[in-house]
Amino acid sequence: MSNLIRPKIRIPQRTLGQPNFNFNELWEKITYAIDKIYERDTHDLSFEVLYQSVYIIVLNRKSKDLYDKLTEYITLKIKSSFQCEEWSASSDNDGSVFLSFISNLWTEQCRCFKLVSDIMLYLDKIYCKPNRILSVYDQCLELFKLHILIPNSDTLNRAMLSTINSSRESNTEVSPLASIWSSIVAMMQTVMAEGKYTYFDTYFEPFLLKETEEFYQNLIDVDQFSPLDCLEMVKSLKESEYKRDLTFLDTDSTSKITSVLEEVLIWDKIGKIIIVLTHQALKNDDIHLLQELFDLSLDTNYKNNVLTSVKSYIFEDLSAIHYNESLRKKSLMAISWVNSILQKYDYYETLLKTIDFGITTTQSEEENGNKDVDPHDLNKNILDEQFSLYLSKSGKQSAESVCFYIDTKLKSTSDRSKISNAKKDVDNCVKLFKLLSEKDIFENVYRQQLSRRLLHQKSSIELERWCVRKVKEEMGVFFTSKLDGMLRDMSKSMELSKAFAAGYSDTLGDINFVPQILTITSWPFQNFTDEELAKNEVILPSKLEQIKLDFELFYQKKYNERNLKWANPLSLVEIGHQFNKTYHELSMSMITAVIFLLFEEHSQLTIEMIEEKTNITRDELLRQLLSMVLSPKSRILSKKPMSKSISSSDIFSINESFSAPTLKVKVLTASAVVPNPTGTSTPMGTRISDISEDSMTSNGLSIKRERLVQINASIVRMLKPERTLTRNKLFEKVKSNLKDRFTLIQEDFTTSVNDLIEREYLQRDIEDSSILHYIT
Amino acid sequence: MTIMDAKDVDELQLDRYFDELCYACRTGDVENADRLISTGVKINAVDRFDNSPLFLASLCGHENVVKLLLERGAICDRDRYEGARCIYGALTDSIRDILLAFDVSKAVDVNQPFGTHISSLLKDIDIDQDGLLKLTHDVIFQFTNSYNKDLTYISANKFLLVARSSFMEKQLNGTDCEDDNNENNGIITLPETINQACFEIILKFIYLIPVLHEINPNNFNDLIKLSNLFHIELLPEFLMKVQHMTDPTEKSTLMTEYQYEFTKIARRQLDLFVENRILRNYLVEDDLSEKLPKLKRRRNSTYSDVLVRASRAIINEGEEQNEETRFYPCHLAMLFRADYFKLMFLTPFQERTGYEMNKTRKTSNNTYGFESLPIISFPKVCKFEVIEIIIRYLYYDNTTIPWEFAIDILLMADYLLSDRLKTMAATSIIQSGEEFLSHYSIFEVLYIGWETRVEKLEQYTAKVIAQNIEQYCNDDKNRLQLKDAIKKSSERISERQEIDTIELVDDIKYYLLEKYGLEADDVEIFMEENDPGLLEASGVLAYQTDLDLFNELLKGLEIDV
Repeated sequence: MSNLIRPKIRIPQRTLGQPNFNFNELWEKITYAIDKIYERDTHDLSFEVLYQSVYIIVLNRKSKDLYDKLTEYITLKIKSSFQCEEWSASSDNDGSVFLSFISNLWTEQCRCFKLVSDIMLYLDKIYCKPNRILSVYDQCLELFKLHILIPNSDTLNRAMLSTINSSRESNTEVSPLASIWSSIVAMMQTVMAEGKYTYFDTYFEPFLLKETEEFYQNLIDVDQFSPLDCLEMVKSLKESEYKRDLTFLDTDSTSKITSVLEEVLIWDKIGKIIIVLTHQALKNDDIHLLQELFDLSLDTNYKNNVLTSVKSYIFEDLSAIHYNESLRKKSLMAISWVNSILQKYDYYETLLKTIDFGITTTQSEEENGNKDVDPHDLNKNILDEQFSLYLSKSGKQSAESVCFYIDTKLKSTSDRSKISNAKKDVDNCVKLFKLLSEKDIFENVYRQQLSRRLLHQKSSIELERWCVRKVKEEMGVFFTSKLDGMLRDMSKSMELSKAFAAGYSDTLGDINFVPQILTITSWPFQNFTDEELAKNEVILPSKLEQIKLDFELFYQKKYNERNLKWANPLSLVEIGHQFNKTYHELSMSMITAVIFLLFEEHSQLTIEMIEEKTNITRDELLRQLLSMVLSPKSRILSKKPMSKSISSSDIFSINESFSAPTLKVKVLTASAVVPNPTGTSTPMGTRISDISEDSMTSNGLSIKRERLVQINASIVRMLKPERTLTRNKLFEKVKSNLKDRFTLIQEDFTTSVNDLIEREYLQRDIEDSSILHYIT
Repeated sequence: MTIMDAKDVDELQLDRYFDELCYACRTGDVENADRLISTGVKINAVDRFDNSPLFLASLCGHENVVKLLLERGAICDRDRYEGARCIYGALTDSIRDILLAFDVSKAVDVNQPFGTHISSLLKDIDIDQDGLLKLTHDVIFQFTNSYNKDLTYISANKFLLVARSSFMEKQLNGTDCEDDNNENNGIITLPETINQACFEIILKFIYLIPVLHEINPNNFNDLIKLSNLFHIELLPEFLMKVQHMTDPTEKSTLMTEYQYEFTKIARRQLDLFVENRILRNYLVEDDLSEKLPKLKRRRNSTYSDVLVRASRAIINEGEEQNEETRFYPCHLAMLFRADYFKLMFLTPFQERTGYEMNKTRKTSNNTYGFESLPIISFPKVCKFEVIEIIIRYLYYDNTTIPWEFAIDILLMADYLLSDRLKTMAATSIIQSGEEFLSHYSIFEVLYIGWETRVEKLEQYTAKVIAQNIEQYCNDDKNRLQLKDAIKKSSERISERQEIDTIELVDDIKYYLLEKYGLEADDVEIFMEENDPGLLEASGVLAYQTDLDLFNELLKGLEIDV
């Protein structure tokens, strides 16, 4: 029993040191053990003996000697293990032999280090730890680094690189060398360099990253391949590099390489062709390609690049839509334009719906500060942004066109069956509302058109209500308060009309009287001053005069506080008349009707006679007569002699030979002496009969006025809490405050500021004129 | 003396320990508290003022002691008077938080260190990378699943089963005899009537793994039967009680109480096992002789897998030296609680190979004697008692260290890399006080403290010297020794350069102040004072006398203090 025969060692009894202590004898035991450990022949070594040897050495205060000798001996061992192994540079083309040699060497050395440090545990505990020097194991690693890694660091790096690069070249994802790489990397990560950084961090990783960059930089030349081929190559390179990296690097380093690849391949190479690729994808409806492009990199800048490209494509595409000026009517142009926009919108909406742009931080998202944006909302934002940009480019025109589009759609609803169609079209158009930059213009035009539709009963009131509700949903209550007012007036009028008809059926006779009581503030007729109304005061035919008086009485009874004024220019009269050949229902303005009705009692009249009987001003009368005599489609009067101009000696009579293809005939009133070239069917008073040229300027004026009021209000609201602001800052604030209404321009702002200074709301700083003060 | 009397003596001893524990809890002496808890005192008892150790420790603000007490099973139940008192009495918020965190509603997972170790022998078998735990297992239970005839195996340590269950002892004895003609080595097939889940719980229980809270109520009846069969003390009683309880607080309080009892029983069983089967059952060289005929060989009823050799020289009257050697039949599973033994069997050296070889030999040759067991030698010590104390400590945390052996234990603990045992030995030295110093000089204590890096002993030395400063400065022999010690202390500075004072001198000066209940600032204030009556009463004068004496001594040394 070998167990029984073992050296017997006394532990010191309350005495320091041992009288027969012999360091060398004990040290010899240890070196013998280390040799055996290196020879992998440990079965006969006794832990007890070795531990006790170390224990005794330490007790005899020879720790430092032991530590130093050990360092020396291990150095020797490491060096000899490096030399005696066989590997020659000549047979090692790519360094793989060297790598596997180092890898094996490392594993073997670690095994030995571990056992040596196990024997030395008492030394570690009593000497190393209190003296803050490297533990035996760490010291061994340090020696390994000093004598193996550092002298061969270049060879090692090169060998790693050349094997990795050749795996890259042959496009192998799982290299047969992967396990060796992995072991080498583990070694590099175990051995410490300086501070808390490992050998890997200090010597290898920077090298690998730099060389990787170079490798891929030189691998593809973008100009030599088609953009699509380039993309394919980059994708497959990236994929296989990632898989390869994972076989031997940790995720941290893998992601570092991935970002190098993104830098080189995606940012650098694909970056050059990203616009081409994106546009190509959109052009061919290639959702997959687009998605792929987007998913190629996780880099936010890159992703934003893709998004920008998408946006620029959409914008370019939109810009290609022409406002077709060649069409005859403005409304037709508007419809075709709006239609094409809506088409594009729907197209891109469906296209983008299928794309997932991830949860990247796009600008809109940042602004909202909302992290939980639905990806579809995100895509919609992209779309809206571009459309809004495009619409605001054509500013006023966009707003008007949308109005025209709606106007046309709503007007074509005389047939009830068409209502649902119209609803559908308008519904589809609604999304453009909030994208308009000049919302006030939209409101203005819409109001005018609505008023026309309402007064002349061109559309169903239910449909109008529905439409206003849609506008309200998109743009807010503030926007539609006046529109609502108009609709309210209409329904109120309806009730009054019924009540009146019931009480005054005698007076009405066979006349169908439709009173429309309009609240002046809701309706877009600014220039109905008393003076203006007085100018249009005419002598009505007695029947009508009677109705008017009765209604005034009726209304007075009902609302005695209210002031009722008659707006003749807005009134419309329909008269049925049997001409020689055909019967027609003539609809005309009130003034025209007054003239026409004179011929009920008189077969012939001169201008002067008419003037006397109606009290119409001469100019107006001339205008009216011209329309009735000369308008090609509604020549209900004839004059003698026939000529293009009207003279005081002319005699007028009903043109009994008039005939038209339709039962209903609109008698138009020319705006000037020259007949209205547009010929739009607008049988209203002069002021509003002609939206196209004349009234638009007046609209423009009124909008300018309205804007001025709003800018003033906004300036005061912005400046009041701050007291003092620079002009530019104030401009920005006001601009953002008003952005839901219209786009503020410097010119309007300046006008407003000057106006406010004049009215002593503001004051320029005496020294710096760019600073504005609020005057309390 | 009857058995009853013995018990009474035991109880008396425990009462004394309890009073000491209460004192340690007042003063914040963690090491002593640890030692005393290890004796098995009733940690949740109260003193004659109705104070529990936990209450005392939290009232006096000794966070470490509070932690220790809680870890060792002191109950802090908010719903009970004692617990609530601890929480309200806690000196600092931090202690209060610790108490609240240990509220009894938490799972009962308090264990003595030896219990934790024993638990790990079964519990950590899957996470044990070196296979050392598995290697110590020497019995396998085989279950037949009645549904699919699959076999499942659970392995365990025989010695523990024997120590903890008399039923298992009989069973294993039986299998041993059969084994002589049987090839089923170490495998015991359990009848299908034994519920595997219940058996596993019993096994866990034997291994001191806290299982009380994880018992499935459906298993209660089976478990009661099985624990009766296995003669598991107190477990059936607990199960019967808890079976009818619904209130979780009540339940967990009961669990804590019983867990304490269970640990106590386990300690007693291991105590008996160690005393009877290991310490009294030691072998001598002749027992191991290969020449011994097979029939004369002793049976390994300890199921030991490793022999611990201790030998001492017997100096006869002549020059001839003789050696007496004893072999204690031990168990690797318990020995490697000391890092030294663990490392010894983790390295692929002779020890490990020998152990593995014996294992395989055992299963092939069916030898159950001691002859082939691997032997571990302790470094040679004079007293077998020292080895025995260490074995008791390793097996069941017995920390009773008579002062006579304290220094040997201290040195051995250092060798074995067992810091806790080291602290216990040092505490024993300090506790024994006068008695120890009548045999050893205080300087020996100091040097051994330095040697084994127990700071507590250095401070203790300083305190003793300060208390008896006259004796150490005036007596020639003592004076020389003190000078020598101070010189040595100053030499230690060069080893640790960050401290530029002599630690021993500083410590002595500190304890001089403490001796008269003074603080450094007080002395400066009193320097201005002239009233002799006041000076006398404050103790400053006596302090000055002591200090002058000490300074005089320092002057004689050629070192810069």
